[in-house]
Amino acid sequence: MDTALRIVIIVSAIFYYVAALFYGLQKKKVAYILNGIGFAANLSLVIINWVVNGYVPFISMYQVMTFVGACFTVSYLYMHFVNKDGWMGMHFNLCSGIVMTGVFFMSGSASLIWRRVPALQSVYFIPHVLFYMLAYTLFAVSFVICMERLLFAKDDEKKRRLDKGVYDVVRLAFPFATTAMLLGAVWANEVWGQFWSWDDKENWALITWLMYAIYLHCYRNEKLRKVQYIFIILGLLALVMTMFGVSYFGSGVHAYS
Amino acid sequence: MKNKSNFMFISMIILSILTLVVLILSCIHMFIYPDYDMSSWVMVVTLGIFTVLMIVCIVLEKFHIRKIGFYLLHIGLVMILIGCFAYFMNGQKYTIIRPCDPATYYPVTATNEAGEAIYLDNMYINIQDTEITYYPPTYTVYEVDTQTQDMNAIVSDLEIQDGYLDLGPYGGTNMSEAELDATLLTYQNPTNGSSYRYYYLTESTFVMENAVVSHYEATVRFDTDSVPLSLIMNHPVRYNGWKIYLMGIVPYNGADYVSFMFKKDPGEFVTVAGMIFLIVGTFLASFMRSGKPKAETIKVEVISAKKADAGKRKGAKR
Repeated sequence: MDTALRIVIIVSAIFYYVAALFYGLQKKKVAYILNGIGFAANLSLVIINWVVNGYVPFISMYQVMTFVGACFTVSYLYMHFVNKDGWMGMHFNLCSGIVMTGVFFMSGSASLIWRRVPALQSVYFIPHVLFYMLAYTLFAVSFVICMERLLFAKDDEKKRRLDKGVYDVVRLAFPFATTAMLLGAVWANEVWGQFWSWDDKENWALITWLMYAIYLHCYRNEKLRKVQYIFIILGLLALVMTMFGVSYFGSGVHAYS
Repeated sequence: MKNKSNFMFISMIILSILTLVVLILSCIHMFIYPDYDMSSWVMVVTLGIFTVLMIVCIVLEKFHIRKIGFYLLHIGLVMILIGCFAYFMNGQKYTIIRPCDPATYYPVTATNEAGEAIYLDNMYINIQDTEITYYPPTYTVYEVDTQTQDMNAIVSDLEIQDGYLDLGPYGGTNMSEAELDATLLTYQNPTNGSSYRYYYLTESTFVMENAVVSHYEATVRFDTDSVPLSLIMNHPVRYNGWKIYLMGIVPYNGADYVSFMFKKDPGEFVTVAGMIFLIVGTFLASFMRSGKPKAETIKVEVISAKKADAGKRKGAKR
């Protein structure tokens, strides 16, 4: 079972990477097919995890990251069809590929037994995690677009397009991050009797949220636009700290996350 | 316009200061001094300045229906901060532990920060029944390092399969559920009442049972004439102006000790209303502006093209 899972994970990652390459080469039809295959493999892992759990697959970091991998394509569909930002396919697929590569190395330690403690048995659990995952996938994509803008964009038209792209992605992510954080606060008030505990995970989630709030303020002001990308970079560092760093260095009420 | 630009600059500075304060205090809490209380006056003052700035920001912004998202989210943030400040100044929260005893009504007393005993609104509490449900247990084999006395988990999450626990090479034990039950010893921590079951395979390896709680429930009455209420974790009840939470149940010396939290939060309604405003506001602010810049760009281009054509015609006539 484990070997089969590993094969599906790596297949998914490879297809995402190759799809990113074809998006970059402007061969969109091939890219769509490759993206679709990568997504199907990724989705099959999410479904397996869900069936084995009998509940949404958010047990371990392995399951959450597998879910995150699939979120990129779903978010991309929105950006492509609703926001008309189809050119971001390369960035979304690159992020999916990186995440699934990480999942490949995690899969060995995947635990499929979930004993949800009473504190986690809440209606807020699924939307809280789901909205955070959606927001964080989009924040990660905004970082990739930001890097392209800073390192590779030469002409003004491309710079403008990438500037607008980063803003569009963060603007879409921000309400989800806000909702996730506030649902977490309402849930905390129901289970621990306080909206905010100044727990390490909460603090870093707040720092991440503030970084992107500052970015949105910077973008909307001509003078401040010069420094806008500092906050995208710092935002991603804070995000990585929230998702992984706190589990290693921190403690508190989110110990099981 | 220039004022607005300057104001945006100040907003960014204040937001950055707030982020920096949270970041520094969080690092102190995380790496240097874990007992540091972050809800200190440093944080309150920073949030206070932030709140005032947002109120100024709301007042200065010219009203337009398209800016409804901006208004809602900033008003929501102000309401949240005011609600939390009301709790910080005037909120009450007490943890009370009482044993399950259907025949006894215990007075709801607690100790405040000054160490004085407080009798909460002359209330009594009677715990009629408790229920603790566990998930099927799992077993972990540990090895003790004889030099450092550290315990290292060798095999985790072993489960009883078909009535037997197979430990494989660790002791060569294929033990039935009943045999295992008889073999396991119970250790109870005298300080916090927590207990676990274990037995030694060899001098340096032992098996420990992990029994995770799936459900806590307590049936309680708060006064002699009140209706019995069922308290479940995650589902607080309101009684006599207090919000009452079930925090946990610990079996100890043959009795179940139930931990409750009694809380009064004068800012709770304002905080929750602020949260709703903030969520709706951010969604409106993010989605209502969609397409506006593109439309403006196209309009500018069309006008420019018309003007250019007109200019060309005029030039040709001359």
